[in-house]
Amino acid sequence: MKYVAFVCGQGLQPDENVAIMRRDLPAYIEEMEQRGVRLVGRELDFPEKATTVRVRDGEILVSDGPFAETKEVVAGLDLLECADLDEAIEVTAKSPVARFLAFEIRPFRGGLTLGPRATAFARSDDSAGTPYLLIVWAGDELAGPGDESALIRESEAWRQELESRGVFVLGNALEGPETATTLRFRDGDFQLSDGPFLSSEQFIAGIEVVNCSDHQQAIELAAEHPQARYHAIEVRPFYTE
Amino acid sequence: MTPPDVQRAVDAAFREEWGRVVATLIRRTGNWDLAEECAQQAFTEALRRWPRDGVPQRPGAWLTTVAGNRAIDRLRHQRMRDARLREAAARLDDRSEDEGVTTLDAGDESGIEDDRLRLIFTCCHPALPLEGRVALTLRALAGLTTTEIANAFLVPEPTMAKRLVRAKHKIQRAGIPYRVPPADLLPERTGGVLAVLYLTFNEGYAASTGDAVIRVDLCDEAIRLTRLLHRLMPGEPESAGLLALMLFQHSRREARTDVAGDIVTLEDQDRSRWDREAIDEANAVLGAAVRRDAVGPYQQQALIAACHANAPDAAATDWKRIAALYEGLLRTTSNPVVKLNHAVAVGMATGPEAGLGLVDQLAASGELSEYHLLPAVRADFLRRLGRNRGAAEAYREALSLARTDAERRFLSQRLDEVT
Repeated sequence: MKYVAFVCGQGLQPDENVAIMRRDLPAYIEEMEQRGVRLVGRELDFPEKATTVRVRDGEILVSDGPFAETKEVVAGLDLLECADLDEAIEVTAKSPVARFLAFEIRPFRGGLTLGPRATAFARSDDSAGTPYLLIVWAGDELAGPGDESALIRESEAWRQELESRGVFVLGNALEGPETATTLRFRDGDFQLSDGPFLSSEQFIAGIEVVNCSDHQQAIELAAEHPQARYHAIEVRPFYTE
Repeated sequence: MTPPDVQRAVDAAFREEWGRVVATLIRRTGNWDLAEECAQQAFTEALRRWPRDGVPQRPGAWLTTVAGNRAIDRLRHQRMRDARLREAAARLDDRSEDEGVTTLDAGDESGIEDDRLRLIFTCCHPALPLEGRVALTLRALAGLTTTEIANAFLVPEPTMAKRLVRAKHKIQRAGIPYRVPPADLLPERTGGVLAVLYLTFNEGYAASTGDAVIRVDLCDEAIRLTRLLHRLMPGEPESAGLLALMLFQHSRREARTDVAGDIVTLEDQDRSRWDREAIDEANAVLGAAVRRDAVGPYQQQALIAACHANAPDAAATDWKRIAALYEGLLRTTSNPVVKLNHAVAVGMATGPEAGLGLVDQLAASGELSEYHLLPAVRADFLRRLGRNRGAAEAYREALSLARTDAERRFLSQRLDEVT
């Protein structure tokens, strides 16, 4: 099964945590890639650099900043290919950052669509364009359309269209928030809890990664996403060297 | 056979075999709802056929076969749009040919035992919400209906139905594996299973002193499931410890309240009304467990319960040993209720002054500030010290926090004694 593990944190990490990451992350990444369970792991840029896009009555509404002003924000993501949830939990708990950051683990709905650019993105090779994460946030006042399968087909067409334009990297819809599991390290032990790291009224319904020439192009691609008519799409640049 | 005989045979088979049938069908189809529905149909079929054909020699195998055939029929005949179901049908067909029905009749039940263990661990998976774990265990393994579980937990039936649907949905969609965890996860996950069973027991134990609401006996169900777990995991001394603990506590059920439904304290209970058979079983189970020399928290609590259960009268209670056992328990847990019980034991072993000191420490920490037994214990020590005014004040505080009528009546009585 394909899972996303959202890294959830607040603010800048203290120096000692940064030191742990520098020291332990490379070995962890190598181990998990060799096992074939970790497809991608990337860090996001600060949420202040986000833009939120909605389409209402055919009009594109753009606002500065992330979808929700929360203490804990999505700081990065790992994409996992695991036999089951137990393996996804095990792989996530082994991450050196899991000692100080929470993870929300969620399965993709109907697998993960990987474009030809996914491999370069996973290697942090951004020569083809700046990678942006489009986070589909459900929880706006609007309900989704009655016919969800139509929206799934439209989203698939959006991905194909973007792929033909050479900008699609990867992405898909996620299973609902009731399938989420949050992992936190507390009192010397890992603790699992049912549900997303934020409230389940506002939850991430899907993620897409696109390669863009600039932020403006990412906003335009987000506005073309069929989900933008019902939900809010947060456009977040990945952290690049 | 007369209809009542058949009904009894089916009832007995239901209690014994429900979990087994469901567990096997889940493994073979990967579909929880289908497994429950087909198990239900197999029991209905038994009611129809057993009066004519007689009760089969091995009802469990019969029921599993019938339920399995139903599942095959259902999966074949339904026009399956869902690819998931088609895949399950393929799996079921494979199994029924090589190891399913034929093996059942050949008498090899080892795989079936494993299925129930798989089911226990899956129902109690830590990624499920706690209330969902409890509900699913009672539904899938113990065979309680949604209505019964809803009544037992005093929640509306639609709420409980939603809880069950959600838990099953998460198992299937989030990829919670249907298996006994591997060795490295086993101790932790076993602890999780025991916690769910103990929570279920405690829910029943506390509720039995509440209003006279007709409830499924959660204590009986929890004991039945723990006995099953103990049988399936004979090498796990903590499951034995939990079983013994539940049996000791449950042995006092008849003596815990008087005819008016009021609480009778351990000290004042008529010990001839304690269930000797349960105490004997608990002593035997616990004795065998502690010889394994891996005494965890459940065995420690059972050892404490044994001190009470085996004392011929209240005065003969070995409070020094109980206090020492609580100290041992406090090395592995910082649970405030254990601290409170430790204070009670010290108060009994050394005197109310020492006990009061510990309770005051606990009260100052702010832990248990909502728990009526903290001021109740404090009040009791103050009463023993002759400090009636302080005792009355503490009883009043306890009264304001008490959750059931029986608790309130008991505390009011005590309050009257000191005012």
